[in-house]
Amino acid sequence: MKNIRKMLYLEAKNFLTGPTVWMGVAAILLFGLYGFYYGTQLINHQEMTINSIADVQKKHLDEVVEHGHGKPAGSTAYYPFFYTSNPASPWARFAIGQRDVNPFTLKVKMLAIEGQLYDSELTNPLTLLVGNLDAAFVFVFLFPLLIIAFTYNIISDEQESGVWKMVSVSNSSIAKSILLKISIRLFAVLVTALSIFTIGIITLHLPLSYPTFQLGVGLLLYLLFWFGISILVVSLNKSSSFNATALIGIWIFLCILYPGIANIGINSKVPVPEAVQTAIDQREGYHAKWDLPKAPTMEKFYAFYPQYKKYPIPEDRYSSGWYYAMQFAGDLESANSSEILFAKLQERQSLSQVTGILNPVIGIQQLFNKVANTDLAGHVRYLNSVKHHHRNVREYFYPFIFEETLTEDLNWHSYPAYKQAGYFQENVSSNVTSFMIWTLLLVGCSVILFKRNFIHIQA
Amino acid sequence: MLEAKKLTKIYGDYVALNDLDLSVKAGEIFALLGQNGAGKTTTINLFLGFLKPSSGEAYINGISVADYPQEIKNHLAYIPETVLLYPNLTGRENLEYFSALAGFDYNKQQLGELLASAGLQHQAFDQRLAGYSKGMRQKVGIAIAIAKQAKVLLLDEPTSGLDPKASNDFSEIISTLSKNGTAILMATHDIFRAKEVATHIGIMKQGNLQAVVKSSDISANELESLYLRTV
Repeated sequence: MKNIRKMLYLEAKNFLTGPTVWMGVAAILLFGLYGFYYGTQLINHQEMTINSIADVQKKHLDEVVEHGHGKPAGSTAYYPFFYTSNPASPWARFAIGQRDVNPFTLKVKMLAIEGQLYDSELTNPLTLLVGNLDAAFVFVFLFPLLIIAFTYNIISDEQESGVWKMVSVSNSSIAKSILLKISIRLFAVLVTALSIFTIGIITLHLPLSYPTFQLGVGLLLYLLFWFGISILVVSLNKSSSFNATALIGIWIFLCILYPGIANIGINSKVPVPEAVQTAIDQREGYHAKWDLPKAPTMEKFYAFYPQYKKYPIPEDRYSSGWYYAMQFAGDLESANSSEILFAKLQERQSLSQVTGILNPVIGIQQLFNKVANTDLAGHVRYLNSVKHHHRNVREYFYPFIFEETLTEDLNWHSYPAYKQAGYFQENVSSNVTSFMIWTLLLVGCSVILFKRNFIHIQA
Repeated sequence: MLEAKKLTKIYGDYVALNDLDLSVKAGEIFALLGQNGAGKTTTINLFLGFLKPSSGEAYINGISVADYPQEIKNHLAYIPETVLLYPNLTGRENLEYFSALAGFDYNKQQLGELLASAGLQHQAFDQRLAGYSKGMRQKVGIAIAIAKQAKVLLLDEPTSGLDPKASNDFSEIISTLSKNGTAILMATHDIFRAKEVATHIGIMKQGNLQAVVKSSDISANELESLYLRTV
């Protein structure tokens, strides 16, 4: 045991005194710190916008109401926006996910909802292409490169320099020597990762709760997966240049090619024109009704809101009650497209989940984004909360519209408050299980190859 | 002891070693002479278990190398032509590491004594190996071999590139080890060094052991003549 400690110490000293180790660690640390800074900046900016919403909403509503003095509520109700927001979870600073491309605030009018859900700002296309350099990026894409740099020449370097002959002659258990070298590198990778992750927890103010634990466990298993890949390549007993080329090739495939191919595959298997179609259906459903008799439109509305049947709707002229019923009918017309859209998004999500099981690089991104609630599912939950709020707002104002209450005679601020989607605790067990299975497979194959290529005499 | 029975190594059509029969007993130093490609290093590598024989057997202390390639490592030490160790560690640390690998636990003083017995100067003990000369590294290699207390020592051109003083020191250490009961097999180009330290000398040509003589039965000049006639 004392000898093992002694060898571990000397092996570590030999490894750590190499200049490349510290260069790699310094580079990953710098990227990590930048990732924390970037994530914090982006989410802080979003939070600043979200925090300003209450004041903006009040001011906007006051202006609309002032402008609408003396007019019926139905006329004034056309103008106000009702703001909603999707606040970031504490873990969004770690994994920005889709928060930079999906809207984190939406303002909706009391008009038909469907067309308003898909309004969003244009995003910098360059950022869309490369993604964000957040903490997740550093761990998902850059850490594997550090693992490759640490491991690609574990044995081959000593073989090429001639030290390996001395090592293999000096002891009766070559497996022990290999294990020592692997352990030191694994330890170095894990200490580096743990240090950067801990800095992340502190600087990003991540709560010490279950989701942070999920991030940590996912990260640990993901790093073990990459370590397994590296060890597998090393176990082939090839040259350093072969190992480096093979590992970089695998990195390119898993991190760039596979996700790109999978994305194309999923998009072509589950095309989603419905977002556009939903908006078109809703607009057509709404516009067509200007030229149609009002009664059929109102019947559709009364089917959901029979309490408003008592209010007369003149057939020969405009009325606010009919106008908002028509907006509602537009949503009904597009309901089918909307349902298909959400079903297809769900189908895409399921297919992505499968690709994530097959490729842990995708799997870990899904895990991070799930935990951070910055994935597509998180955005869909937000859209549903917006729909819910839109309904609450409509239903609050309908009585005043049908009663033709004067603008100044009702409290415009008393509509039901927007209820945020809130944090949703995701289940990441399928991702975690796939990491474990992959790692075990890789380690198992490596052990077999190490025995074949290093323990037994080569012909 | 070391023993080869009909040991053969063939690469395709090329016979690197052909039906080698050889025995080196405890206390003997067997020097293999021969030109490049004669099969000296192949013989050493077959005893080390680095190569699988095409036919025949190699034994270390009666243990088959082919059957127990890991087990035999406990019984032998090896010094190559150029001893390559960890450049980021000091001489003492390298010795400590390789001794620990072999299962020995030496303290700092013992490590120093081992290095000193191999002829390394005190001030070099705690310097990084990266700054060592070839001769100094060779001495650390000897210290590693001594530290292992192996009963079999395999040397592959160990004095190649060493200055005369270092070569002479090396020969003395080898002789001491031999007197202590170590069986030593040494591949070398140096006829006169072989004559000086070896108890037996074999001359190889194209994978065949052409001649074996007792060092005490032959003068240096006769050995040179025999060598030139044989190769």
